[in-house]
Amino acid sequence: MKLSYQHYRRPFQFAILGLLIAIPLLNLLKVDAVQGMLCSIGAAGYEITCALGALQSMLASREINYSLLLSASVFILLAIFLGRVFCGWICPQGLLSEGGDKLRTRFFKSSRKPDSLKRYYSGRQFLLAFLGAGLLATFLMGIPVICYICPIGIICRELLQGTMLYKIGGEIIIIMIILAADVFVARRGWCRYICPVGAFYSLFTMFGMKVKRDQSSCVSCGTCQRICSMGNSPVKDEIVKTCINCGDCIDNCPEGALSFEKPSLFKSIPVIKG
Amino acid sequence: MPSWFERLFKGWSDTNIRPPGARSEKHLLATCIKCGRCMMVCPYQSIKIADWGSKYYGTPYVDPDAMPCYLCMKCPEVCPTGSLSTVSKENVQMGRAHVVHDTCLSWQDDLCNLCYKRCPLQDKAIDLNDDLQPVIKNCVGCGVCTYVCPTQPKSIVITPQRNLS
Amino acid sequence: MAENKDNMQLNRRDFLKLSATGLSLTLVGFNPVLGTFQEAYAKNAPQADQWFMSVCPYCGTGCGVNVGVSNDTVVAVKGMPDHPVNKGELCILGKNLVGILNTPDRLLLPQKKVGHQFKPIAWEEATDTVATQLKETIDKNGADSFAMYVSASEYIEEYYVYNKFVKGCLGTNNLESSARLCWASGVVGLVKAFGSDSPPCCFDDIEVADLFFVAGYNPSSSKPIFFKRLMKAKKANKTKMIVIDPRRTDTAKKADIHLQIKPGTDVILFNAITRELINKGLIDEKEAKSITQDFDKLKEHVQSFTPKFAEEKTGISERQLSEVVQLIGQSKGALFMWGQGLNQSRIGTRKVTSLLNIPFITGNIGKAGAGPLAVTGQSTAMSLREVGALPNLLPGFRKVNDSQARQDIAKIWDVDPQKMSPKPGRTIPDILNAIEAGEIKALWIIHSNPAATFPDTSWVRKTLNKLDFLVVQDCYHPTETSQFAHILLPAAQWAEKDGSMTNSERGMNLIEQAVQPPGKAKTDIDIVMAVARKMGFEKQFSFQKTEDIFEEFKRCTTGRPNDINGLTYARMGKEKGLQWPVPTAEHKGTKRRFMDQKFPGKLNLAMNQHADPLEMPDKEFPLWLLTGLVNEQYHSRTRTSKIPSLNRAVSEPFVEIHSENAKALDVMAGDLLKVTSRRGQLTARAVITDNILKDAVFIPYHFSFLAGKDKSVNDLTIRSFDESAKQPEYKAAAVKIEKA
Repeated sequence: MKLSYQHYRRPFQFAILGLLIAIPLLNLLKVDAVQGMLCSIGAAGYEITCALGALQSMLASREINYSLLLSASVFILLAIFLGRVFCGWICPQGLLSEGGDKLRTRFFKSSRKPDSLKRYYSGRQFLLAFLGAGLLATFLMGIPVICYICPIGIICRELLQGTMLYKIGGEIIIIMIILAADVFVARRGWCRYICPVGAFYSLFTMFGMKVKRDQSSCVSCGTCQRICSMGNSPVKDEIVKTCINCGDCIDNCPEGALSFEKPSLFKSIPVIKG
Repeated sequence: MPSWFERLFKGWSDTNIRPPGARSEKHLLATCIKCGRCMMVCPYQSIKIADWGSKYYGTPYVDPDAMPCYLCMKCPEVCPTGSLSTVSKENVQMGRAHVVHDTCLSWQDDLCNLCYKRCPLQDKAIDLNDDLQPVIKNCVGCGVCTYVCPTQPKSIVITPQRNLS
Repeated sequence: MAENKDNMQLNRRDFLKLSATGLSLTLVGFNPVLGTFQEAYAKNAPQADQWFMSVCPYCGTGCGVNVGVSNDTVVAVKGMPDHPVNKGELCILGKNLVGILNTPDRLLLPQKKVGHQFKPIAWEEATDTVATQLKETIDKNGADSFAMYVSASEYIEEYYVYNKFVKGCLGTNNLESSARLCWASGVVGLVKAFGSDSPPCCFDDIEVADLFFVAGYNPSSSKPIFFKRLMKAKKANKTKMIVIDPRRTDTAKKADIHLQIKPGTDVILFNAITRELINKGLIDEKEAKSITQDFDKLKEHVQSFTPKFAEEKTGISERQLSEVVQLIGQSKGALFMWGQGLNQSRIGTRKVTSLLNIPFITGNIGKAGAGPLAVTGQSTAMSLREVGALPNLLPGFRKVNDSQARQDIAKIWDVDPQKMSPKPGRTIPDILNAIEAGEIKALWIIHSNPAATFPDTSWVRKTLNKLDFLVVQDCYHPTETSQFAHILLPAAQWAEKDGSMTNSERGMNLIEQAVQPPGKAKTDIDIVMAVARKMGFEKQFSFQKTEDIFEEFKRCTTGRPNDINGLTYARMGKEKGLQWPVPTAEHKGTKRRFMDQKFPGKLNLAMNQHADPLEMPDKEFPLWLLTGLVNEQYHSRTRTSKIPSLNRAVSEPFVEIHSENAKALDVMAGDLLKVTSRRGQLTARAVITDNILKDAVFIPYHFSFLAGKDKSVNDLTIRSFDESAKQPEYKAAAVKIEKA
């Protein structure tokens, strides 16, 4: 049997989560080759910083910090080459939300409850509106506003505090609200409509790796549309920037009509086949 | 109320000082992305992260009463956004200590110079005057003196940088 | 033990952290019981109904304290405003005295070891056991198979009872005191120089002197009140101060000249100073010759100690040396103070006698504000010398090998002079060696803690296990030593017993009993007398109250240097700190001795050569270990570990290391270091400082194995002893340091 993307993605997501738990523990054991969480991680003198955090930091302080730009470029480059893989493959909130999605399927087994919000808004517009508002507020207030509600940062910080200071902050409630909303209100509502981090990385996906439909073998069964947690419709070629390159549609296509297209920037890179 | 529940909503104490290298409160609030790197690297677990419930939430602080800063200056090196800038020990501006003469043992004519002895910048930050009483000179506000002060309430307290004019 | 309880809390709370790092991440201590401060400061303390006069039980300064009692509980301790020594002031230890009394680990019942457990027994059974066991041991192996080891914080009456019991009744001279670890070299030095143990100066000289010469001594940490007085005088009179210390201590920081000497080379420095004083003509040779012996010999002897030679050996530049010599030469009255830096050495006596050469040839003796001023580390080290609670002494500075002295004392004691042994008893290193060799079978330890305080403690612990019978009489259990006991006797401590004591300036003080001992604890006198009576010495120990013992001791001092026949309890209660000799009731006490320039004989000058310590730093162990104390703890912490505010200040050992050494080892402040010597190891946090000489490390000695694994600096120190005084060499051992 050919391994599906799920066979790589899920372990990868758990590996990232495991890493986030292991790093503080190892740090306590004085193994500090790798330090930091997703907001900022450093190993052997190389630093990776959350790009949105870096942008806010510079916007709020109205200063340009070149070393910060350099360390923030890693995730942006990732988005440019591979699309929003941060959301699909790395983000711990994404993993939780997918769990929430599974729960939602179980609760509303009979009919996959259609998305109540989808009828009114396109996820993409909503996302960008939140990002824009957040960045504007950041610039005007001089405080990185988005960092206050960012669930990725909260998860990392709680793991950190829980391991090192034996306490959990009240902000864990945000994660619970997001999960509850995901289950009961809108399918992966946070990721689809609000998450400014995802929105920010979506700005850089125009050249990156995308899902491509082979029209000749597609039978328009609509499985891909139903399976897509982000509300895209590969069957209608409506793969917009909310796509997180999770590969669920490719795995589930009964005809094998979907595959990843190589990044348009580097046509020479061999296609990653499903 | 169970203590874990209280902890859940423990806010911010105004006596908290910022980790070393913070340029100003405004700059720190603007640049800090709440990544927790400084807390992770702190060998004394002095740096804590402000809890939910105030605008300081998520930012690092040092509570000198619980565990002061020993000025090892590891945190500015890992700060990704420059909220904590690398400076030498002597140029840190976390706050400034002041001695409460009414309760300080030395100022009550008893010999106790724990604050002076434990000060990481001995002779520079705290010195003893001729009557062997501690006087504050070029204090950076690390809080070790507050931590070791044997009186209760503390006779040497740190005023955080943001509260200084 | 309170400390253990704290640790347990720490364990539970910080389980993950501890299991991960093995140590709490604190430099100067992390004590989670922040809310339970025992505030002992008189200001905040509850109102006392009654006040009793007492003396602080810690150092030899002998500060007077008033003990406030309410409902038979000590509630407050205040400095005694009218006491001549401290005038109402107290240091941080004295202020926290309330906290030492009713602690959870007070020993309240006599206990007997059954298997590995201690089982409470009745007093009757306890004293019976001790009496029969001692009798058996002595009958079988002779009186010298028994030894008694007492602390140096007991009262005159107690020492007197011990002395009478051991030397008079049992017939052995094995009565040793922990003063051996503290001031033995200093006292032997004084005896060698003066011909008798006669501290000539008093604290009032501080205000008269115009130069303080402080060698190997850090009173700012060890005697804060004394130091404060020095500093006040220094400010008021512009007194100059010279400090000789390898560490830049707080005392050194206040000095006009600080000579940061290479450890252990004091003899060379003192000889070089002597040479320069003589050669530059800064002394009156005629006067010097009139009071000293062998001046010419000394002059010849010191010629080889040129400033250049001294610079090479001691690291003190010629310029600094000449400044010091000028200061001494110009001084009209110089006080010479020294401490453990000189005493705790293999050549401690040599160092002290070499230092004493300087006041002798400069005429700084027998006048106000001049001479040697020795302040002991333990509160009653002076008393125990007067009473003779040392292996070679009898009351009134008499020697055991003097048959006339034995006869005089036997008459007062009402014992058979033939039974008293003329052979000086064993010193504590000897006692431990004899235990190892099986020559001493029974040991009685009173308020002392050799398993923590003796060098090379792992060996001491092994040795104590070899005893057939060990009685530990203490107010706390567990201590490091009490665990080895066969019988534990609960004793009263400070404020729970009365007596009298002498401080370092020969000042006599009365101590009143403020409260009853807790539980079934009894005073030391009661315990020892109960055993003695059971062994058949009812006649000798028929004292009704403590004052009777004092009256009998007074008779021993008649005609001796410490004649105190003019004193009674009533007079001591009224006139505080009268300095002996006080021969008559009208006599006003003797502030300064030898003011008439009449010494017991001519003053002896010492011709000493330098000798290296037994263990010098080498390739494998390249660093020189210095041990010492901190303000906030006292000795092996049996008392001070009970006080949270002191523990919060210093709760674990630390390693002071020079910044260059730290750089070479890539050590940051607060890093865990493993310090290893040939005998053991210690793990502690690094304190990086430039106040210590390069290639030397300093570790406080207060912590032992009850404080945690690998916390005892005495696991590292070496069993090397002063050649004549047998004081251990705590300040010289070769160690190496690694990151833990």
